[in-house]
Amino acid sequence: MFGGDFGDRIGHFATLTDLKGNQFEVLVDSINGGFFFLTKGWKAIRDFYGISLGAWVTLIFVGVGRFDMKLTDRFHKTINYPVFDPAMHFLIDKTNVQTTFNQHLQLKTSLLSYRHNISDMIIDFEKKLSEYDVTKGALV
Amino acid sequence: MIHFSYKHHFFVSFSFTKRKLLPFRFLQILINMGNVVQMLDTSATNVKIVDDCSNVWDCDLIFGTLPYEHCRIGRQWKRFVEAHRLREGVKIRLGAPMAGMNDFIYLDVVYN
Repeated sequence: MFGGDFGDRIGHFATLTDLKGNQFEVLVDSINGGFFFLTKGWKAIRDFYGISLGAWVTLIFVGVGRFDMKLTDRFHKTINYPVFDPAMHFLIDKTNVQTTFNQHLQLKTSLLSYRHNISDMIIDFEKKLSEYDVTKGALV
Repeated sequence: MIHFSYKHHFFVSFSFTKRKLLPFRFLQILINMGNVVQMLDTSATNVKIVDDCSNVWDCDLIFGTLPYEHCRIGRQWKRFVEAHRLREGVKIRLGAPMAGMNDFIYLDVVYN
């Protein structure tokens, strides 16, 4: 549906902006040039608005790679948009991401992975956040 | 090829007296309990944190020696905390794909 509505105006990256100016950069992927889906960065929207039970998202095309976004919950009630000054601007990690669509994606999207796995890393450790970490603007 | 593993080296003995250490102990956690020295270039002033949503946060990095050796990660860390509504007591996991001078480190918020 996303691809059918916006067609060739869709680039490999899109920025979604809510009514309070919060911006989410997301990676757009396509299978065989026809089936578009939002990947990296999409999970941030779920976490930011607390919509783990599902929600309706309305995307309004406003320019190349840019969309206004409206959210309502499962019962079409407006979701409160968090207000930040300045507004939040989520940027995705573009390491190992090519600038154009990947033409060799697997057809089965459930086999695609877009997040790191810390358990596979050489070094890792766990830390419980202190009051200082969450109130003073620095992790120590 | 030698593979270094720094996993689970959580416990480092302290040679300071308790009285001297207490006021600054909170500053030393990343150095003494974490593995940031093995992850990062101690002369670097910047590190990018990639969270579990694949968002990147550009953070200042300060390695200090006074009053004790410590590490502080700042700037966009504050925005990250605000965006994820993190509170005291929440656990995070930090990881690096290799030992040495990583420009990027990876973070998961642990939800129990």
